[in-house]
Amino acid sequence: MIPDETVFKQVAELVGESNCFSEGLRPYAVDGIIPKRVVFPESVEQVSALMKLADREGLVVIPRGSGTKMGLGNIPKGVDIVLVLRKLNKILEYEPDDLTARVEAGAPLMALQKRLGEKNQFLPLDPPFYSEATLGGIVATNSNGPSRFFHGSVRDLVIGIQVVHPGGAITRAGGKVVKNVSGYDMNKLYTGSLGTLGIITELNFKLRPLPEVSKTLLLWFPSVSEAAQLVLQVSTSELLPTALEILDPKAWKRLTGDLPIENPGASFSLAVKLEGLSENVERQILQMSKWGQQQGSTKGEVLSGDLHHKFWDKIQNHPQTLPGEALHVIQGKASLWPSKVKDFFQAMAGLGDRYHLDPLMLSHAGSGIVYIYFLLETAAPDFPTLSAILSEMRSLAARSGGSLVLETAPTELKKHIDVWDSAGDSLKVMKLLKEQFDPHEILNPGRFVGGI
Amino acid sequence: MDKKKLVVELAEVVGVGSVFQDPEDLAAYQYDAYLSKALPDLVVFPTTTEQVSEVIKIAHREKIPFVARGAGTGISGGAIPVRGGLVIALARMNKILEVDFENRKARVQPGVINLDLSNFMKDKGFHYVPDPASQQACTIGGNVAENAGGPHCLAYGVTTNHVLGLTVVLPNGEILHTGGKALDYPGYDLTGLLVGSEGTLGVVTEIVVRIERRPEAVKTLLASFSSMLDAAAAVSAIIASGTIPAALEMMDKPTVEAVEAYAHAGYPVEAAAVLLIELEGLKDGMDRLTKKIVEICQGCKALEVKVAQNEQERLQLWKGRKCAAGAIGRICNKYYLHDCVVPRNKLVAVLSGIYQIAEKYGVQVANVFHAGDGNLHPLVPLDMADPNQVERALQAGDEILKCCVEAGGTLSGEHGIGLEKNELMPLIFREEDLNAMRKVKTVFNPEDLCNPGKIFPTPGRCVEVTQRPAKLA
Repeated sequence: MIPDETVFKQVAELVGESNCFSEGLRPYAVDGIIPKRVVFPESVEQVSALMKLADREGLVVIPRGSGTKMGLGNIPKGVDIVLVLRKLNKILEYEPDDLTARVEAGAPLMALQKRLGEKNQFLPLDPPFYSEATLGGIVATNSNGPSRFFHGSVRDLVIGIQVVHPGGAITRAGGKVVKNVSGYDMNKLYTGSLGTLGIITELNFKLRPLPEVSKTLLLWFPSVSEAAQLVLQVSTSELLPTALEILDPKAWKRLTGDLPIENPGASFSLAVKLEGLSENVERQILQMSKWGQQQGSTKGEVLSGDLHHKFWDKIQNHPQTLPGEALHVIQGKASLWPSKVKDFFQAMAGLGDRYHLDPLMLSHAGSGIVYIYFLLETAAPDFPTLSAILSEMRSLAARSGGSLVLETAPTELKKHIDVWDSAGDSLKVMKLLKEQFDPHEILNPGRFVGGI
Repeated sequence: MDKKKLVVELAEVVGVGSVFQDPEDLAAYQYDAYLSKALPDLVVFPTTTEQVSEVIKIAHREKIPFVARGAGTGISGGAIPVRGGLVIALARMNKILEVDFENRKARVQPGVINLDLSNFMKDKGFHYVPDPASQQACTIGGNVAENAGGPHCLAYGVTTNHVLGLTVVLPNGEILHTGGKALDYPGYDLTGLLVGSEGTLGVVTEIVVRIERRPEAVKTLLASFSSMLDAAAAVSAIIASGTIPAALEMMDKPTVEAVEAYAHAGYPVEAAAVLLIELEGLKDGMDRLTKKIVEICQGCKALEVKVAQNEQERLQLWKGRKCAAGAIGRICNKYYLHDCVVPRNKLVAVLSGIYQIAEKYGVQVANVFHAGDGNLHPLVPLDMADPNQVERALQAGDEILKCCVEAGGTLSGEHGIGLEKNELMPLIFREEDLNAMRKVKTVFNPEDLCNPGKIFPTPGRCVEVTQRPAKLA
């Protein structure tokens, strides 16, 4: 069905002419498909009215926050309306005594952190695109960072949600309290659902107090084996690090090149984020340094203050800081058993050698997450061959107990490969859920797992 | 289908000795720890995922309702077979299938008892963190169904935060695998959706859980106060100070009196409220942190603050908390245990409200609860010999729930909705909200064979809370 101009006229009426755009929309293209309209609703009622109209008229709606992760997903089946939530950006409630907050989905994480920081509290999420990402986008894409090792993932921090469904129903689940088993835990269903079930318009989070002290221990090792071994030793010990990050030499160089930290050459780096009481941060630095030396660490360094924060900014924002000006960026995220991180690094290096590719890798090693980057400078890469290589990587991930998702890939490559890994025997139920929530397939059709 | 034929067919799947049909055997499966009961037609004891699948395929074919059951310790009626049919008792699926220390995960069958899992790993210094009060009896499968909590969930999260993967038999008998030992899997988070679904979406037959190192250092404090107000202020002050204790439990005067008469835990009976505070972490800095908490309590006019000096003293302080419900059970022949949650900055107002409600209905109320996460457990003693008192107690209970909801709270923090609170769901959810949940149910359990009659309000039923369908045991 080709939507006609009268329908788009109604769209404009619903959000107001000044919030509806029909020209200069190339920056809002999704995998090269330029939307017919971009709208900026100002209230949940407007979102509801839009969804009602879109569902009735069969308009494809692509929800968007700041747009930092619009590259995630397969090529959509169409793009009629890009629905931008940036005008729904209020912090609605903040209860410091209760360590909870309620925000509109378009509120940037940074704005919330600033507000919470005034009361020495924070939302312990440190996803990529830290300075731009909106909370709705972070939840919809299940976007996490290094600190998930200690603080948990998005799913562990969302306690309430408001979602507008196709057809316009405004629904709530969860609530303001930190413990809640009243009804199904719909928060979990929507977290990471990439806007395929509804439009997230509000979120409740539980918060944490800011730590007394926060420092980084850097240790360098001749190979990934020793670094990975130390990660396992630490993560199964009584020590309580916040994050355990392994970087290969090339990733280290690109990420931290302009920081005043002496270049360790061809070593693998282990960066440990430590937070808490000053006594236990110091003790952990001493103990891990000692264990590091026993594992063959060649050098160590402690970062604190500004440098500590700048360092972790670079690490968590790797999709921005790492690629630089590369012509084509392919980035995969493997989620593995933590014990298999070493094997995966080594297998990837072998695969890189075989195909004359030069992967850059960093890993939230304590959590078993590995990011692999290919930065290509050729004008016309051989995408069919690349997709074969990626399939091989996927087998490696499967052998390490996990899966691999392509988070960033040129649209041309997406034509040759499914960016998502297999959902196994649960795909059937996932498709049925999609059918129930979005029967006319108006939300992000085709972008999610298994063609959802 | 003829019951005899059904028994034969089920016995072919699980074995003759694993199908109960005698009335005296069935009687034990008609209730859990809630006040209501309903007889099943049969009880089966499968031992494998495949057996569960075969049993459910038969039930699905014959359109017989079925309910999975763990230890039957739930207090919202989740395991009660309200429409009869099969009880699928998972007690014999009690194997710990795998403990993977390197990846800090364990894989268990649903009938494994919560505490047994921790004890199994004790000599390696590991444990499974969620610790419901009934952990000596309740099963991990039951914990998954109800998304159980426990005192130490304040710092570490509830069951759902510790479950990473499931094997589940759908209500048509199909076997489904979700999640696993890695953190992220492609697609919707079905694991998260299934945890806390109260056995209405399928029967879980395998569970992957996180396991953690036991903390290096533990400090346990007991602070007593001359008013609930002071104790609640101390809770707020501790949370606001930037410390999240591992556990932060409160008991009021009636609880303390009952506990002391029963367990002699050394609680000061003259106190109007007692806080049990546990700090966990590394030993470094622990003394300073303990001192800080002691000072906060003193600043909130604590009458006394005791710090356990050794493990024996620590266990002694916990003894009172752990046996609180039992101690109250000793002074009345039955009680109604509630499970509501309020924002932590509303604790004082809600507690005052609860005492006023109790007075209004002429019933007693004892409060013992997870103050740190706002999860209240008002206990209303029931005099079963006096139907009028019981009716007033139930009404008081409903009003207490309303009071919590009005303060921004919710109906259940860790015990579930079951058939206890399903008619109250409209207090916190609108029809649109419930419809979204119904869509989920339609996908998994379209014929409503799997644990029917739970969570959702009965269609067309008036919301008036006094119409609670409780059949009293």
